[in-house]
Amino acid sequence: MEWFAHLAVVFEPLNLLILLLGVTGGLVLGAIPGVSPTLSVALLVPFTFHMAPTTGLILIGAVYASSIAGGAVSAILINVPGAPANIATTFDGHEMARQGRASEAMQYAFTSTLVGGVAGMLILIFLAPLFVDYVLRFGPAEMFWVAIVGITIMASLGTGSLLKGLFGGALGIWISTIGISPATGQSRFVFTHYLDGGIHIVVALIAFFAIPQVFRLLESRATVASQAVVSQASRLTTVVRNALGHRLAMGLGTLVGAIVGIIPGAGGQVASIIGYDQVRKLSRDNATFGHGDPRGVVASESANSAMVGPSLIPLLGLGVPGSPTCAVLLGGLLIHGIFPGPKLFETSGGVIWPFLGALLLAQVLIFFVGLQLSRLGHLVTRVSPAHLAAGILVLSVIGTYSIQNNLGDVYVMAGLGVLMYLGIKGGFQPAPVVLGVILGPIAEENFQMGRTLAGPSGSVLDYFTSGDIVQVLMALAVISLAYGMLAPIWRARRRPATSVGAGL
Amino acid sequence: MKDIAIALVALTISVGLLWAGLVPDKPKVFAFPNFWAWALLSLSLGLLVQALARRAVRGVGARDAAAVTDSLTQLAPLLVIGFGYFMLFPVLGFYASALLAFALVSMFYDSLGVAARPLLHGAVSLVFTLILYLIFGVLLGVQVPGGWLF
Repeated sequence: MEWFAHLAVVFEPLNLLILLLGVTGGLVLGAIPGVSPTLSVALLVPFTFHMAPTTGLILIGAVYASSIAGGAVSAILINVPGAPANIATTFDGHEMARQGRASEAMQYAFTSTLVGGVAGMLILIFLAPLFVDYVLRFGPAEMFWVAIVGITIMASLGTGSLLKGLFGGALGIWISTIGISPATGQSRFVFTHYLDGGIHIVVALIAFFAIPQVFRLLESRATVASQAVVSQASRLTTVVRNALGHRLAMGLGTLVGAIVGIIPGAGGQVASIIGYDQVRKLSRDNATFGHGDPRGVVASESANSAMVGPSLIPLLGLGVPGSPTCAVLLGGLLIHGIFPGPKLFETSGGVIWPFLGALLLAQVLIFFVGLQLSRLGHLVTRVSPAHLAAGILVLSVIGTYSIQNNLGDVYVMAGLGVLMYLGIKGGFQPAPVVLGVILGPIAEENFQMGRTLAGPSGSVLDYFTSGDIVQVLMALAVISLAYGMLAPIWRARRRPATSVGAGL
Repeated sequence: MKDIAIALVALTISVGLLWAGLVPDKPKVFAFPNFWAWALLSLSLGLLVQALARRAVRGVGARDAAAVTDSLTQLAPLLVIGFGYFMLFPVLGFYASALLAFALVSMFYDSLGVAARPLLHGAVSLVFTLILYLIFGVLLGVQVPGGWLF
């Protein structure tokens, strides 16, 4: 029960205050359409750089968990999910809002977040150390393949095009090689003095996620609040009792979310949609689903909240982020000197256990703060896209500059951001590129180490292709690529109108 | 047509990266990035083949170029404001330039039309900059470039 011993750190006044601010801020950011959890965490990471690692990670963790829950507010009020994880919440949540039951729907959502989120975090706290113990067997060959598996998973899931996803991942790895070579200590691709130290992870995060979002928000000037509905107050105790009464929806949603969370690449949107679908299929009287049935909100929100904890298992154990938000979270861990992997709990237990404890407590705070904020939800959804874009632009600049007090970082961020926006226009996605930038150094260092180790014992190819774990990881890479190729064909067969091969 | 253009841009980038890594006297330094540059070249060729195959099936679309032109026209003021902001903030100071950039972006992209509500945008910009200063300048002590103004 090592985590329990570290829990006291979370209750220190400063950390508790930061946790409360993080939860409140994350809920507000999550409720604003156009501000995804990934963007929220990416904008936040540079500012935590100036904090103690424990405090900084508590803030990042609180925003990560609460921005997903906050997305339910706009999903319910204006039928625009604040995050992809809240897509299934719109099915019944917005219908409830249209029937004048918006407040009730949000109470269902935050009660489900509490149950799903706490269950997911307990799974993380008890499973992560076991998983990390297993990962202790990993050497350079295994870690090299872990980086490659991470790229293939991110490229094949949710990017729309496998080839473009892989191109983005490979380009990200190439970008990570700018600067000093870990093998020889010599400079590479330093075309301007701004690139002397390479490209900092946070510069890449902001460039690839925040700047394109500024462009996208300004492309359509229409406000999203036109469909906002008025909510009617309802008794909290009644709704909480009713939500807990939907045992099947709550239990199944939580179970599905926890299972999907462990699978790298699946993410909150997959968890909530599968959770919703399974609950609908297994429920009696399921004709009301899609017409304002509270069980739909409970299933979706318990699933996407239960996903949060388990999604950190591959991240903390292997350094493989299971979603774009986890990739950004990985950047946050790295800038605080926390290196996920086999020795995580051994070397950074004093920081990582309070971080997990804070995530658990955050789930409880989300419930209480979320219920209070849900009364003001309609105000949040009326933020103008122009103000939002201007705010993101200014925060991106200060966030980038503050990492190393370097103007060059700001120019590099702006240049990469514009290029990423053009890339998005061409069908490329930022997540594989960012993951390439993050995992590139891991792949290169382990590749060089493996080459050195393999030197006296035999061929380099043998070293990187032999061993049970290596072969399992290679198989995972092949499976994720095969899935990326076949999934669009399956989808096209289900919907004959869609062009075949569109996703390849 | 758009897909072919995208594939050709990807191909050009890949060739450029491969060329940048051709440093014969330092093979060890460039071995790893060059491996990925070759991978990028292969993937961009794959994109080109796929785009050509799709063109044969679907024919050439003409609306893509118009859509890109529309986007660029719409975003031209942002690019100008952004460029001015990045150039000016070391001179004017971070907070003054942030105020200006925020106000200009808000006014140009107002949903009711350019500069439809200047007082509202001015007030929002001022409040936003003040909050920014209180959080980052006073509370977190983040160092930002100073300048002629603030």
